[in-house]
Amino acid sequence: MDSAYILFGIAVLSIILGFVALLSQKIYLDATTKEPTEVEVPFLGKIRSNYPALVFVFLGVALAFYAFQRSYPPKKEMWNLEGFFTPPDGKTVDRAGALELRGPDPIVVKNTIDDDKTGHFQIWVNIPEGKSVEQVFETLNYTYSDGSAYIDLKDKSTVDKSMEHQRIFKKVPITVYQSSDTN
Amino acid sequence: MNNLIRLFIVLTLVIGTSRADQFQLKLKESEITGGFDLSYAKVSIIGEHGFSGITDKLGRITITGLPIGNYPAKVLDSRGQGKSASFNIDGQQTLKDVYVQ
Repeated sequence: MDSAYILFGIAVLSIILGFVALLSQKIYLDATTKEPTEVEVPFLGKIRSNYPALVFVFLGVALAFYAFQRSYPPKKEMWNLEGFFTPPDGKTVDRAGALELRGPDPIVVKNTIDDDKTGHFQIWVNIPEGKSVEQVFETLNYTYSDGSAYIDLKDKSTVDKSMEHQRIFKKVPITVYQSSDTN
Repeated sequence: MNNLIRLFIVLTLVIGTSRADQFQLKLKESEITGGFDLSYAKVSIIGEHGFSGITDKLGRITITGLPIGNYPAKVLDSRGQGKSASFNIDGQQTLKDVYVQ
């Protein structure tokens, strides 16, 4: 937070200095060429100007915006996802298996399967305010050595109960993989 | 005549029954360092009998709804890199290795 105050301070100082220079109508000349200076503006290229004070104002505003973004990132809300990855009769699930929410920024959620017989899972995850879990993630995948299962979050038919910040999914059977060398 | 009809029905069932074959996607040793990721890769079989699915974290997939036969497929990893593979649907219920290239 201290760094944000320093950034805000520099930004305000730049803007004030820029305005002071603008109001005082100083003409800045290049020391070697004795010509008015040129300023390089992103996306616009070189602008011939005797008011580089504008650069101070521009940089000050950009710095203030950056500091604001860093100081006040979008708020997050806690969401709860619950359901069952059900193992076949007589089998259990590996509670240490990989449970992942997949999307552009996938995350691994650990220690969330709380029953190795029913495969009940409960996940708490932070989602940016104003977005839903389906907008941030695409699938919920569970994989362990003997099998795997997944829930397509975009498919509403997989949801049993849908509340404001909670989704309770229908039971999803685990596909068991039978290794050929075990036969 | 009845026997012929029975034989026809049995053959139809054998050929036409949907299978649930399981595959383990693998990379050839020479291609392991290429950065292709078999976890959560998209598998697409296009044609008269189509299929689309995603592998699990370990690169395994169950293919359903296809009659016995050999099917070429496209495999896209999560970063969009593409490779091809050939899936042999034979009705066996064991995990079969398939090399993508």
